[in-house]
Amino acid sequence: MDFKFKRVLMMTASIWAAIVLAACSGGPPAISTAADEDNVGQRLQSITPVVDSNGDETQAIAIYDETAKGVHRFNVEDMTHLGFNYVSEPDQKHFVVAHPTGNYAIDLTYKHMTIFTKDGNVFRDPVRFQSTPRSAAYSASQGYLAMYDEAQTLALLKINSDGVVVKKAAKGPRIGGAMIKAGDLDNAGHLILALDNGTIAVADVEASIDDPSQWILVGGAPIASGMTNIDWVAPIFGTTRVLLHSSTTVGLWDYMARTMIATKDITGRTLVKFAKQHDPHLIFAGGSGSTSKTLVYANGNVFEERTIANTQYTILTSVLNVAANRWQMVGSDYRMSVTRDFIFWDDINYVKTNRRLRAYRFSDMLALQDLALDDRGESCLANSYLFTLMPAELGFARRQNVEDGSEKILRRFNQPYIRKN
Amino acid sequence: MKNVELKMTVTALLFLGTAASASTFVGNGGSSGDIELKVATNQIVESLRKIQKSLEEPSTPAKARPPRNEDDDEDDRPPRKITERNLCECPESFKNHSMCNYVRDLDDQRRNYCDKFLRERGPELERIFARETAHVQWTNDDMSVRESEDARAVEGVANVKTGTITVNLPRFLDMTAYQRIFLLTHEHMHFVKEGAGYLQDEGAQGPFKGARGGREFINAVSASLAMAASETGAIERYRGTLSRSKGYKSIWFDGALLGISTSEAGTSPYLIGRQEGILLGAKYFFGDFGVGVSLMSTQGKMSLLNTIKGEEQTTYAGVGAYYRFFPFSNPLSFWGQSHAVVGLRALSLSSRYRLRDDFNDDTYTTAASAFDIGCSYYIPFKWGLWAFAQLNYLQGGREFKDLPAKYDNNSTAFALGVSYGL
Repeated sequence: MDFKFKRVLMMTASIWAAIVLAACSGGPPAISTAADEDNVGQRLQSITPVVDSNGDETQAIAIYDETAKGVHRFNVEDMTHLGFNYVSEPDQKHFVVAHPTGNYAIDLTYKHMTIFTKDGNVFRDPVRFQSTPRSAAYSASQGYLAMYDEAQTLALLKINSDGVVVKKAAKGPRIGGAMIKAGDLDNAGHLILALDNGTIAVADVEASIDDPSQWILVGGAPIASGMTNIDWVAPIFGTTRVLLHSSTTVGLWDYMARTMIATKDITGRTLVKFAKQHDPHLIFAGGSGSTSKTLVYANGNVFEERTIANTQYTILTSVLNVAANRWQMVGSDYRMSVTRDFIFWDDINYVKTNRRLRAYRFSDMLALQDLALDDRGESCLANSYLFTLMPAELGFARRQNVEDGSEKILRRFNQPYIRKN
Repeated sequence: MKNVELKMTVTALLFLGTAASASTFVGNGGSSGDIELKVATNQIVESLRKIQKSLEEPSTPAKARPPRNEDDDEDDRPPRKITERNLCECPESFKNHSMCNYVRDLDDQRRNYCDKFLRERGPELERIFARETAHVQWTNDDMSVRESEDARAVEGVANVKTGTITVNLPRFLDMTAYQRIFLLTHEHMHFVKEGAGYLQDEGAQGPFKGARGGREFINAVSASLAMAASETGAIERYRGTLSRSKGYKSIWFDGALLGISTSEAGTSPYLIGRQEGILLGAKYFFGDFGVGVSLMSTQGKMSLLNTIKGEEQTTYAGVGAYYRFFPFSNPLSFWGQSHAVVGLRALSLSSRYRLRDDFNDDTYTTAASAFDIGCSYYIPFKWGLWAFAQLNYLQGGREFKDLPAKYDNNSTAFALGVSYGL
């Protein structure tokens, strides 16, 4: 069955951190304290999906390559190399955001932001921040980038399609006496922010950039949500609703109506996955002794649960498109430990042991595809393809079509850029 | 030498256009035959001098030389002075030698006549050699002399009138040291004055009667001097010189181990600045100038980061022009045969570069031209073998556009090898 996802799953603005694959091959790193919760947008990691509000699959990605010490831009449709730029701080960790058609790439590192355009322009530090980038929300169609760092600075930028920063502002985390805890961009120019006092602030991004001294909120002030300790905000694209998560409750909040539409008590349930792609959802482990898992998502005004197929033990990433009746995930047989046997943040590359991509017809869980991932590579899952960057110092990347498994390969893209020590 | 000009017809001398003079040696290592000629001349002169010196030494009391103890493996009796015996008799060690054939059957009268000549007129003969009274010239043609009705093949012919001795070069080179001493002494004897003329082959000479008495006498003296050269140590002293490789050879084959370094090899991380390999070459010299061809094959490796490996193989094919010169003047010495060769070569090179890591494996090729200028120094061993060291400066780079890698234009090459001169 042909289908087409409307949105970017993971490729609109792939953000690749240091691709030190050797470091990943010996086993997973220690559990990061910078997990999916307490972030604005998508967490920055070796490959970080950032959801575009249009939901179109990106044609271009950007990668920071530690071998060449620079940022590559690729066209993933025909697997061609679009360009390369050396970074200025090669010893630092780097994260990258890419325009969906390759017009520009944004390099983020400790205290620095650089925009490389396809015309060869380099825009350095359009906005100042003082810490390491942690997460980002990016909407290419609106031109908005909201970058959140470890110091809780929110750097807001409006970037035109040529990579030129039209306007920018740096904002602190304090709004109305409370502090930002989590948030994300919608596709209508709003930044939905959960504050630590349980309120929700809906910021007008354009107006907030224009007024450097304060946040400009829709409705003037944050609104109490009825939940506390909200640590995850996931917009449902095409609506004015967001999913909210706390340790005891999942909420469906309409931020324009400023009301909670539905809630679900999750007390005592074990969360195994946060997922914002395509339709935000959460996955919980089954009861004691059960090997099944349950997917919870919003369907209209209500929450629905769906027992999902007997997947591999650890779900690394999950993508749901209710309208397209499709759910696909990448899992592994890996078990972290006896007591902690799941990885709840969304990271396809967190473990590289027997990873498999499986796709299902969501309505009846009919298996549609089963593909093995190359465990040597750093992968990135889009709507219709899987992109894998192999640990080749000269450069080697593979694009696999999810539907039929066909491949395209791009090689030696690092070769012209490797420098003598 | 009576009637030499009438009776001796040197058939092949009519075709003496191929004759070449023995060279003057100075600084050019000599030509073919020159070494052997010079060695034989030195051996003759040294032997004559040693005979004279022996005559000048006070004579020892005429003790009977005790007989050798047959039970001893070695003869440890004190050595006998050469002049204590008749110089025209066969020493014990030459009993079965061909040289002995010329004196074995001499009666006492003829033997004493021969002996007397060597004792009394040895200095005169020595002066003929030392002053180069006769100029030796080479021929590659067979020669013969007509005696009465017969033609006799000869290796050498003396012409007192022109002051030349013509020697068949190939035959001379094939001779033993004794045979060369015999031949040269025989021909130089024709320049010894005898009465109103010179010693010659025809006719009687003292107690050497008959139509060929003169020849028998000259042969006896020549053979005796050849045998005396062994006793004086002259034969052994020049054995190394004769076996040493000769620098005048025309055809040379070289083989060497080679290293090429490219200086300031640019900024590409794929450049391999040092490559090593082999060199094969052949040269042909026309005198001191020569032409040659050479083939060099080198390879080098590099590694980059953790997994990238590069290997390059380069082949150079060249043609060149050369000049050789001998910086030391004595061609009979080790250093006298050593020589330098400078050359200029045009090179065509082709190169293959393989670059790989754990996921990529590609080969790139390129071709270019270059030239180089170089100097080699050859030192002789034996039997035509040489060792040489060579230093070249190459001008001309190459580029692998797709790598990318561009080599600098300057390279230096150093080689150590062996050569064979033919």
